[in-house]
Amino acid sequence: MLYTDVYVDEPIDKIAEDWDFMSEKILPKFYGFRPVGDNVYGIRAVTHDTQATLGKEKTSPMDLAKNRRNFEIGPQGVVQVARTPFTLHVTCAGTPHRTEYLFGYWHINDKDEIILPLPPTETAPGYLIIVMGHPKERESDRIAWYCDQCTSLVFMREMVTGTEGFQRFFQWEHAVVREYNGKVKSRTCWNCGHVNPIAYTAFPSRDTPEERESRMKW
Amino acid sequence: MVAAPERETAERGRPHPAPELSFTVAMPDSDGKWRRHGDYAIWCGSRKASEPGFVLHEWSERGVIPIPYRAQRPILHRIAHGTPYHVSHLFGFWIAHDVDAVWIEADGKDATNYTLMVGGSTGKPADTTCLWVCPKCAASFGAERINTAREGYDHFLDVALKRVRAFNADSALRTCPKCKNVHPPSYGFYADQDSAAERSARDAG
Repeated sequence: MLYTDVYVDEPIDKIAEDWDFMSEKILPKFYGFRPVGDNVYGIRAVTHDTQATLGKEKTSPMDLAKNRRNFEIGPQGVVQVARTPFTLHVTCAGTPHRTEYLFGYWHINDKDEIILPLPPTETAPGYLIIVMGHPKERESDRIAWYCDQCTSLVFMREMVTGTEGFQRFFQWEHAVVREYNGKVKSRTCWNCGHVNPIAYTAFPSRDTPEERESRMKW
Repeated sequence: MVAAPERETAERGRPHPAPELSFTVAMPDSDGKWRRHGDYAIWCGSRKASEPGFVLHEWSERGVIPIPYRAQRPILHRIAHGTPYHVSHLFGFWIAHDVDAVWIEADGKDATNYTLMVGGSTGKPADTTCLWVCPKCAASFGAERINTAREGYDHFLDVALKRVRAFNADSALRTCPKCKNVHPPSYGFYADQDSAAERSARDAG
C-alpha cells in the first residue's frame, strides 16, 4: 500500500471516536435522525419478523419489521417500491413516501433521501441506512395524508427544518400526528368523503391504544 | 362535498415540488460509473474476495489515516467537506469536495460492496479538487480545483485523468515540493481507461 510510511501511528478510534457510524458504541446515536455536517443520518435495525412485536421488546425505538412495505406517490399515483439488499434507493426531493408500520403519514422532504438496506450477517442484524441532505435556509419537511380511496391531499403541515433545525423534527411530528388524529374532519377526504385511518408517529412507545391498533394495520 | 383543506405552509402560494419517481443504484451490479442526479453524485462498486479490497484513506495534518476494513460488519464513514481522500485501487489521485461525502462498505456473500455518495447540500458538489499526497512526507501538492456545478462531475473525472497522464509523464510534476521524493505513477478513476502503466499502478494500490 502506497501510503503506509505516512500512516498516523495511532488507532483510528483514538483519532475520531465516531469514525464509523455503524460501530456498536456510536450506532444508538442514529436510531432517530441525527444531522452531522451536510447530511442527516438514520440507521434502523430490522429485528422484527412482523409489526406485532414493534415497541414491545427491548430493542431500539425505531426498529423495522421485515414484512413492511414501502410506498411513494409519483405521476402514476401510489406505487410500492422495493427495498433490495445492497441497492441504494434514492427518493427524490418532493416525493411523498411512507413505510408501513414505521410511520403513519407521508413524509415529503425538500432534499433527496438515500436508503440502503443491508442484510444480516453472522454478527449483525439487517440494517436500513438512511442518508438525506441536511435542510438549510428555507428548505422544509412536510407531513401529509392522502386519501386512501382517491389519493387527494387531505391534510398537510410543513416545518421549515432549514431554519428551525432538524433536531426538532420528531417533536413536531408528534404534535402534527396528534392534531390530525384529533378531529375526524381532518381525516375526512374533501373530495370523496372517505374517513381515513388514525395516524401514528415513528415511535411505537408513544402510541395511544388507537394509534397502536392503526399501526398494526397500515 | 367538503371544502378543500387549508394548507398550513411556510410560504403560502409557493408551488410544491412535483413528484419525480425515485431511482436505484445497485452496489454489486453497478457499472462502476458515477451517477450525478439531484443532491448527490453516487458511485457504487464491489470487489470479489479474490481481489484486494478498496481502502479509503483520509489526509490529516498528522498524516494519512486508513479507514480499516471490518469483516462481517458494515462501515459507514463520513468524509467531512474539505478533507482530501483517496481510495486505493479505485483512483490514484486524491479528491477534496466542498460538501461531505459518505463511504459505506459492507460484505456480501461473495464480495465486499462499496458506495461513495457525495453531496447533501443544494447545488453541491460545486468545487472538487484533484491533488496528490506525498507517500514519504504526507505533504499535499499539485492541487487543481474544478467547478463541478458548472462543468459536471464527469468533466472532473476527465480532467483528473488528463492530469494523471501529465503527472505520470513528467517526473517534475511528481516531485514533492517539500521532501523531493518522486511520487510513483498514478491512475484515473475508470479502470477500463487505464494504460498499461496505470493498470500496474492501480494493482499496486
